[in-house]
Amino acid sequence: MPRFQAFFQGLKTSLPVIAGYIPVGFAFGVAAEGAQVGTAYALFTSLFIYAGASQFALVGLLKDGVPVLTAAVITVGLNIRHFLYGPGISGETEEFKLPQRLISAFGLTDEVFSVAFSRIREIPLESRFWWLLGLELGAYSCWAGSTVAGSVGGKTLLNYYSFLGQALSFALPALFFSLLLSMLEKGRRLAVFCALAVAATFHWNGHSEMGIIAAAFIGPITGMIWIRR
Amino acid sequence: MDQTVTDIYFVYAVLLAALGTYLIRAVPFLLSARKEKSRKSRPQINLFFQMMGPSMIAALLVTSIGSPLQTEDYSQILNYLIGFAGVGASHWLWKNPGICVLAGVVCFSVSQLFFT
Repeated sequence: MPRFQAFFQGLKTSLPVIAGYIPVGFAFGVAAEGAQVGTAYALFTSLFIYAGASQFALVGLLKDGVPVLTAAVITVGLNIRHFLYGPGISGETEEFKLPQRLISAFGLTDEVFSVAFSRIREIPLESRFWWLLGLELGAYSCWAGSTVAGSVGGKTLLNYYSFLGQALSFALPALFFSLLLSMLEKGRRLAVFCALAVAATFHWNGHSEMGIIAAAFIGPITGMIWIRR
Repeated sequence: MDQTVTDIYFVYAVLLAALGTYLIRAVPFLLSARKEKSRKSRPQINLFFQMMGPSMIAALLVTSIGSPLQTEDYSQILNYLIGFAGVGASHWLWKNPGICVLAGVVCFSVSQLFFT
């Protein structure tokens, strides 16, 4: 598959991620404007950090007067689950050279990882980097664009069409659910149900981030024990 | 820090957080590349990583739902169930994540008109 074709296929694959990113990026723009950050700084945050919830946290912490280093450490801590994504797709990206790994690592967000993990096997080995680049660039540009849109006109739009905010907030759960459905093979079901239970338990006790990491280990371990039985 | 956040401290904080976040994504990705060959020869580890992806997506699904299911707002729970039913039905019909997301959002929105 030629590079540009793989790249455009990746861009096309990013559409579900874009559907999920628009409301969240938009909400971040609105929140940043509410914290008197300004459009340029909101965009700066989205371009450099590029990690949903932690950006909200950073802006909130700085607005509350938390010291720079503390705010940065908390923000990084909120993204700690991302350390699992690289190893998660490593088996499918063996052909990547060092610069390609360095570039594609930047875009490995929750949603991009989910889509990449579920679809990358359909792409020929030699085209995977360009496909992943297309996927990441589509998602990244949408994230930046929706941040600007939210910062510039978000409040006005949501005041007129308040139902949009809630309806679009369902886009991310819908994306994850559809990806999960496509992965529910027989041997994986117990692992997935365990992961759901573990994540829900942590989430409802206020430790969502830890829940994702715990689920990432407990789910597969339970699944493997079940298979070996 | 009784100040506007649009100052040099804000830039420092963003750059520090960005660097940390990037390292969290990049370092394990680079290190796992080296171990990949040895992992291939160990089917148990390979199986673990095959199950880790769906497990993480399941966990992300739970956290993305957020607070609505923690409240006693039953109409909101119903909206979510109808939204997920829309996703499930479109997955069964088309198996395309983009269409699934759109169908889910439409079902969720229509449900909100009736159950709020």
